[in-house]
Amino acid sequence: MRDVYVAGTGSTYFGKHVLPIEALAVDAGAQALVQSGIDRDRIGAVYLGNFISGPLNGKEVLAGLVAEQLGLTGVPCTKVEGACASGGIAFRHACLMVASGMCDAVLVVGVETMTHASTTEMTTALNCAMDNEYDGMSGLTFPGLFGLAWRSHARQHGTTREDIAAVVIKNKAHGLKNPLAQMGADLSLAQVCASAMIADPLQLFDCCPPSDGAAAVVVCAKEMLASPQQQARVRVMASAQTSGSARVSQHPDLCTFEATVLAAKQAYQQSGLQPANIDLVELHDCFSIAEIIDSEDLGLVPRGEGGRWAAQGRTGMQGDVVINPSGGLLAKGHPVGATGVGQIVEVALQLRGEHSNQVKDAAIGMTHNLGGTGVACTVHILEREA
Amino acid sequence: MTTHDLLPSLTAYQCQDCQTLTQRSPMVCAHCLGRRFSAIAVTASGTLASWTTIRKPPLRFKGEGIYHVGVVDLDNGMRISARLLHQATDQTGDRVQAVAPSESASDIPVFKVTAHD
Repeated sequence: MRDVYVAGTGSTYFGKHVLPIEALAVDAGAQALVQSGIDRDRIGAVYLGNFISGPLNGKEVLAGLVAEQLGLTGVPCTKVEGACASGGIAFRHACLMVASGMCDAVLVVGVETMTHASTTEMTTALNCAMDNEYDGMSGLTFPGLFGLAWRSHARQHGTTREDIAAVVIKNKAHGLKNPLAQMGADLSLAQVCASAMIADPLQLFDCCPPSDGAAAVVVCAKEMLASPQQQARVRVMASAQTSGSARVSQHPDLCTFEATVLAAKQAYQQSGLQPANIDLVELHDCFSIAEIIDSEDLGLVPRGEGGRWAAQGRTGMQGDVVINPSGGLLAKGHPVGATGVGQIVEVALQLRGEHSNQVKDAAIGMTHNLGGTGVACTVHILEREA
Repeated sequence: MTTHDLLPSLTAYQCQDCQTLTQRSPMVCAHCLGRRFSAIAVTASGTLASWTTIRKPPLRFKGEGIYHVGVVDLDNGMRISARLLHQATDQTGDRVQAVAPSESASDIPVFKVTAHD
């Protein structure tokens, strides 16, 4: 298999947009193509991550639609859906096309628009990612799923409201330093605790906001890279994709996602790295408690210690491992199909030393993108190549 | 029957080939790909693994207002999702028992706490 590099990146800001969904994707895609310096006739395929453009926008075939507007014609264009992991899965499949030699360069785009929908419309659309013929019949929602996980984590590990608020406060502060972020804020514990209850014990500030946005990257083989002096090379060291149960009642432990544990294990094996080698991670903090669970599932924090590490600042910018320097989903926002690609953009910026909230001496970064009830997961590890 | 009447048993589906139990009737058994199932009575008692209160429901459940969802570990080892008749003192680890569902509830078991952990 050939080495795969991230040659170009692009992104809209995450937040509220008035442009049509395809326009956001075209904006980000054009940025990535131009930055890559790769001629468009060398782009062999397009993968586009999206979750709910059908129910919320009445638009499908987005991959071909966006490719056409970018002047990419005749190449295979594939829309990828894996709930909140759609973007990560699209990136992985682009990497596989390059690694296998099927293509020398591939464009990956992730996009979603959600803010025009009502809360009920959005909740209904997002619930498409649940097994609605099984325990979705209970009326469970995704905030509810993480409310269940919170209570389970609290019972098993003694995690407190204050521990979990530390994640919110950290990520909202990180978001203030990221121009792509939707909802950075300087929050106090009292403000977090005073926010409205959504799915007990999950409160409003524990939830990522609905977002519009797009992100894109061009991946390519080494010989396709433009001037090596132009920017640091970012190489994909590991690409793992796994699955888990779509039924919450089939998870033996409500505060771990087996798909994440398995993907992390595979990614460490592929890269030959250990968790201690990871300088920063952009992980799937769709809810505050999710960051705590993810950090443990990824092996970055000892099992059960995620809350305490957050409260002690061990996951902040000066911590043992920096988690979500972008602000994560909680502060940067979560345009669902764009999130996984946006995480790659964030890590690439960090490894090039170009991030507005730069992690000092960042050499190895990880991304973690989780879909549904843990039904789909991707983990990627990227390195700055000397 | 009121919503607080305790039920002696629940219905589960057992694969006739490998005896695997599922909460709802599947197309095929995920364990052995068998296609023959029997509806059997299983215990209606268990332990509350976790629970939450849904305040922002999807469209299908919007008419029900605020409701409570739990995950229950039945005494036969099955883990199932359920509705919960909420009481302020409920905690994870509490003992629960299925009750007769109200007419408005969806086709899903309803439990109430019968003893605290």
